Amino acid sequence: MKVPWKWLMEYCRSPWSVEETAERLTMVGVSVENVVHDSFQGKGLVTAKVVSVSLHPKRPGLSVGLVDVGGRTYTVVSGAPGFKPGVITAFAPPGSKLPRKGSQKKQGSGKGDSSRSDEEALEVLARDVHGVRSEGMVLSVNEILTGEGPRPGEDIVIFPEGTALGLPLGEFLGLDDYVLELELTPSFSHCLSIIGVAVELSAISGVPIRLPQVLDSWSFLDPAGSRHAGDDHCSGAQGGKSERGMIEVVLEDPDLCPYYAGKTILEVKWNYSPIEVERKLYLAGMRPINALVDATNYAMLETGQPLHAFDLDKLAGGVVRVRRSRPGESIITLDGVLRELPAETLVIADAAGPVAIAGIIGGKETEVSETTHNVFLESAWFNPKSVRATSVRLGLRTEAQVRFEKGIDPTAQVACVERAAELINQVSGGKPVPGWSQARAARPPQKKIVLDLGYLEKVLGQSIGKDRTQATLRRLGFSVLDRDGSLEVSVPPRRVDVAEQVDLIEEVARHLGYENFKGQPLKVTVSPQIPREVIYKEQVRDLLRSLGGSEAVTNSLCGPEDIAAMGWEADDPRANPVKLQNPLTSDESLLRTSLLPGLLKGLETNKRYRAPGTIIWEMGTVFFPSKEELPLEKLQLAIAAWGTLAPKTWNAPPLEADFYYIKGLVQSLLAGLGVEEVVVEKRAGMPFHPGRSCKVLSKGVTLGEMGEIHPVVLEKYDLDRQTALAWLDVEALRAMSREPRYQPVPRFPRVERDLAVIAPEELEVGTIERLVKGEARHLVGFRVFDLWRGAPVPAGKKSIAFSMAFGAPDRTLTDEEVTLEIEMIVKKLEEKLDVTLR
Amino acid sequence: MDENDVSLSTATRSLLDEIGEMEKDALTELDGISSGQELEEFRTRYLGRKGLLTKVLRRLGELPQEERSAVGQRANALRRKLEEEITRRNQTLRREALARTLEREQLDVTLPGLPFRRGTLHPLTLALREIVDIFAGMGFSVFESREVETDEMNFVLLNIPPGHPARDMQATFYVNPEVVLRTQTSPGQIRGMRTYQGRLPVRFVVPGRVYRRDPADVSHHPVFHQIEGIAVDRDISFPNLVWVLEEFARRFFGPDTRFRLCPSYFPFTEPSAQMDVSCIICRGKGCSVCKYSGWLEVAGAGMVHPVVLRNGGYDPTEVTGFAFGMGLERLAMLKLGIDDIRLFYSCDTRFLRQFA
Repeated sequence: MKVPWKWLMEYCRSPWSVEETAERLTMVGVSVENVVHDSFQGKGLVTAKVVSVSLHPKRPGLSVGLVDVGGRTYTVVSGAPGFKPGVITAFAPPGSKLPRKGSQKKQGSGKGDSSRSDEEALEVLARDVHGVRSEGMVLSVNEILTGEGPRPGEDIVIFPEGTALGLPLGEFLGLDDYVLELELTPSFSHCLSIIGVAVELSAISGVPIRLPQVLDSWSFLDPAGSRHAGDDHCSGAQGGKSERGMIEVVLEDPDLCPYYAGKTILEVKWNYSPIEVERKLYLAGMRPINALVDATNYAMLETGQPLHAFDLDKLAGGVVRVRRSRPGESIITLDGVLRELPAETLVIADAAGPVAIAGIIGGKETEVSETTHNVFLESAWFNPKSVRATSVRLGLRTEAQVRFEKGIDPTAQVACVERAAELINQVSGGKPVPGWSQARAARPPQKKIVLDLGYLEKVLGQSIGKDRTQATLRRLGFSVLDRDGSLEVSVPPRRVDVAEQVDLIEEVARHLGYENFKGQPLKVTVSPQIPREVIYKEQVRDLLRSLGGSEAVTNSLCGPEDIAAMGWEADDPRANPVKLQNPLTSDESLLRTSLLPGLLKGLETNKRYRAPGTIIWEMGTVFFPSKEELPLEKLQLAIAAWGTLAPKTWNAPPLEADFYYIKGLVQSLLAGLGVEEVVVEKRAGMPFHPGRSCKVLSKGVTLGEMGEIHPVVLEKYDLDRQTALAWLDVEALRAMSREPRYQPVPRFPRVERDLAVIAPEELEVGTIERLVKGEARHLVGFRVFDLWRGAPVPAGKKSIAFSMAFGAPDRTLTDEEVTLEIEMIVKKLEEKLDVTLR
Repeated sequence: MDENDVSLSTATRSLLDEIGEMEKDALTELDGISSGQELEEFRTRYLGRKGLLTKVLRRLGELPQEERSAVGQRANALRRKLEEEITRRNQTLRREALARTLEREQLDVTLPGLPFRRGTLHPLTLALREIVDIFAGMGFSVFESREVETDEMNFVLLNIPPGHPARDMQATFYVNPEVVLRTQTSPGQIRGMRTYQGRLPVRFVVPGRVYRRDPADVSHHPVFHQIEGIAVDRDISFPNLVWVLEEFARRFFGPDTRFRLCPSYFPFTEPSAQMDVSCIICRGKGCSVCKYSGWLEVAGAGMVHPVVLRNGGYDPTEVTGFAFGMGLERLAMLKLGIDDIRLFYSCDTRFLRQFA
């Protein structure tokens, strides 16, 4: 909502500057996002009198005249019909500047500079017009405001007789202005009008509001609703039909439109609006069309009631029906678009079919134009939900629709249509037909709310008192009756947002000013509970930080390509994600079932930046369809490493992202988390390399998988072989984690012995380790320190060297004991596995 | 007694003379010794069992009885002296050797050490930890809630029935007509309140991921994070909310931060407020980040709507409450001076590694 400052001041003169007013409005909830200084960009344009006119020597239809700017005269060529001696008009002498084309419309909010005066303007030059030198131009309203030429049928602007000559136009017409750009919340639909904002300003400042006389006499702001709105005061649908210009109104779907009023004005003269009206419309962000349409827009901006002007003579059958659309109906709307009407669309129809989409946009066929003589103004109340639903279905938003959707005063239709009729009458003449073509299915209920002062003070935490509360509410247009401990408050119908006691409390609070509420510490102190799973997650994060990776956060939404890239079987739950009904793009149409695709893309990003290698990890939710109403959400941890994580330095070998890197990382993490009895099982599923991956288990429970990437998956990404991944189920990890418990520190020294064996290539070291651990009685440590293939070890064999530590809790083991134990181990190795001592 | 004492016998004088010469020679020789081995040879030559001094002592028998003891003392004095000198010399030699070793062993300390790798936490994690700490300090527990929600939880129970204009404020992703990706952490208010089963006081925060159907740009991302808070008790009032928000702003943004509360609108609070803080970027002077207003909105808040209290299992005639919600990315961006929300989701380690 854009509120031109001068327009606002017509109804309530602010005692403060523009900026301060904006600040104060914001502080009561009328949020002013921006204050724009919209200065008039024309330069050197002045008032001037046409002193003499003669025909152009060569061109019929053109005249040559002398214009006087008060002391100096110019020769000007013009074809305008109003270019006649004695006329006072607007004049652009050579060297003056017209505003740049379209710049008036450019009201987009804040590019930083809150003034628009720096935009370029068009310079007017003296020029030759078919042999006559024209020193400047006489101007139409359109030229003054937009720099564009006169519109069809538009004459030069004519000022009242006696207007002084040579007056700068900007000042003379008061074209400099400010615009308050409001960003209103849905509860502030009562401020979708200049008067609505004026009411708030009046309540803040105490300056009484002044309404145009016609609105005042129709009790536009009366808390009881406009008292003239009743059917009894006016010609009803039936009674008026016989009268000339009256239309029969039929409400076929009163749930969507309980009240509809039409006002007829006969014999209007087609015209453009006066410059001050056009300027206001531009400032408010609307484009002037013609005097009839402008009057409806003007009254809408002023009052908040959307109105529509029909060409009366184009309404077939002297009837309008407000009804739901029928299958197959369509309409060409004012914007020239042919629209199929979806079911349930509320339309205004004449005898021939739809002529408007109710509350949103009118039809092209019945619009007012140069040929319009008789006009029918519509002022109705349409169901907000219906308007909203239709707007969504059609993807069409208009100024009218926004207001109907947010909710308008259900009692102000007649007052507002009278205001528009008055405006039309002033500019376009015509004869307003007394009374209205109208129908009413239901009366809006009068809203009364009991406000418990004790509750008000409890919620607001301070003593406010009955008098202050009453005064605040009254200033906002509520009427208040004192009922002992409580107040009975009548809500003005325009305040559709106020429905219950707490809404009144907000009214009081915001007009007392939030800044006047001093903070009060919470009384009771409670010790906060941090759930164990939250603490656990942070523990995992801290461990991973200590292990060297960078935490990442990736999108929870993914696309079919991300899923396909992983190579999961069709029946894998991860290949069957939860789908969004209304994704923005296909890339973000699914809920992720794994963190790996997101992290792989993250690795690619870093590769693009020429990083030598990257390790990133994420802990986040993955989603799976479920039989329940809501999908299954699981917490996953995933790690992705690619490339050279630490390049070779003069004193350290490079650290590469390979299987043993990721395994070591996961092992350290699991050890840090107190996960016991961790074993790995060869071969993880996709997207892992089958021979370079494993599952991780603890006590038979699968915790996750890790390993190098499968070459087929790798092809889908801009990465290279050196990519290692891991994923872990955080809930399973937590279930398998043990809090540390004290173990007695060994008091006796351990004995270390090394052993080197020759084993078949295919024998896993893990098998040897398991056997050693199973057979030894005092083994407390096992460490592989060398692995060798090739001479002198025979082909198909490998040499494994490991160091074992032996110890006992109650004594130092003797050499003999250890030697015996090792001999026994060697014997078992030779017996059970094809392993020999080297 | 010395070799010039004429009262002594010639043999004695000669021997004393020899001892004197030996001392002179030994001390001179000692000065030239530069290694432990030479020093050992020196000791053997003079003090060993077949050493020069021993030889002298063997000749004591040749002297007159009464002069022997004096010469013996003289020889023993020389032995002690040489032993002391050898010890001293030995220490000097070792000191010099150590000095040479240290000199030899020195390194180029400008070469880098071993490349330990420090990991990093995501700036959103760091910001959230700080925020949760601040609220925990005010007695707020943590409650985590699900990301895919029913339309009922995300909207209806929060006083946003179907067709409510407030639904426009939040472009929603739907899984089906009844199931949405939560557009706010606010459904956590209902789920959280229900876990209290009517007990008081209720006081918790709900951090988490939320989803809006907005294309990504510098300040929007379809996935982002919020932190929600709620307090319910018999006597919670609007000034309590003011205190909690002010306390938070001061602790998170620093003691000099100015803030203001303006009326706002949320269907689930009434009265509703938004908290603005003085723009961290321009310090309130006006810049593109704050749209030249000098203020930045950081939180939406208000007194919990009676409908919401009822849906959470509380009687609004008995209790009151306040609630607030904040965008985690926005808070982190303001605090760290980050100008593009998409960086959080970029996985770009040049960004991620800037934060501890």
